[in-house]
Amino acid sequence: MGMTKTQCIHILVKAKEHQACFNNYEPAVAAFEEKDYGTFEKICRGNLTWLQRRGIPTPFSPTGPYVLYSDNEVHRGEVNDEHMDVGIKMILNKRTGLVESMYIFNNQGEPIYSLKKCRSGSATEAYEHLVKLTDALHLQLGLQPLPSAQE
Amino acid sequence: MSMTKKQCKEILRQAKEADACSSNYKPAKKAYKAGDYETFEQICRGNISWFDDHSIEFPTSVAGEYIYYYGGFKIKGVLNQHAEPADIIIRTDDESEVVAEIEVKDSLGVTYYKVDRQRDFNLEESNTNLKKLADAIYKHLGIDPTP
Repeated sequence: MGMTKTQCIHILVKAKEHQACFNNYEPAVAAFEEKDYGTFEKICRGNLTWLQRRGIPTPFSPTGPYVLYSDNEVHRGEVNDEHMDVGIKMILNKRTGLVESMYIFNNQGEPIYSLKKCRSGSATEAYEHLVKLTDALHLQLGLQPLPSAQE
Repeated sequence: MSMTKKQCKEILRQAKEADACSSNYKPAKKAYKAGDYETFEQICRGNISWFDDHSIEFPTSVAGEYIYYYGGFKIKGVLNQHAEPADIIIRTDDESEVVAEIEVKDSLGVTYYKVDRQRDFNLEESNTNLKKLADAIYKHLGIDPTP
């Protein structure tokens, strides 16, 4: 863990005080009770990001991966010490786990490419189309699609 | 080639008549002169796609890969038997070859997922980031992206 458990718990308490974490509190508590401190820390960092983006001061640096739950979505990403998204951010449907959108950011927090799901469909359909997409990306980059993706 | 050279030439001739192919005629001719008949066929098929968009009938069966040059972009895709783009469409900058857009279509030709470039950058940076994107998707799908 990049943050201590005490720091994480402090963030959760503060997020709860600011009514930020209705969707995040339960998964955080569940992860803590299961001793899954990696996930616990990511959810706390999600709350920390939420607090800092609303100008609520916190004493900790948020750098690292985070998970943030909303009513319908799960946001998985990584923030730098200026609270900006860097690297890959994935937004999943909370109920189905399907990829709704993705972003890839540069080190300045600027989006480089975005991916969007344009229509609804089953998990199988979404899986198949994402495999097609990644295989096509690999071919475009002069790489072979991964063997397990071709099965 | 799934079309004959004669069919391809007829497509090009008709496309030229219909003012379709100013961006495509030169690459088609170049590919033909270089003996690269596969690329030649793909560019000709791109013109058939243009015919279809403009309701100009063309009798040849055209299913297969196509290349189409338009507005500074090179568009690569697959046409179904109805001359409609299906499966994957990749738009790249014609000069830099940087990927600008990728569409994944379902069996009805409706876009399912779409990747869009958000800003300008060079080919190396583009490829590095697209590889990261592909790795992240593979990983999410439970496929190990490491060699």
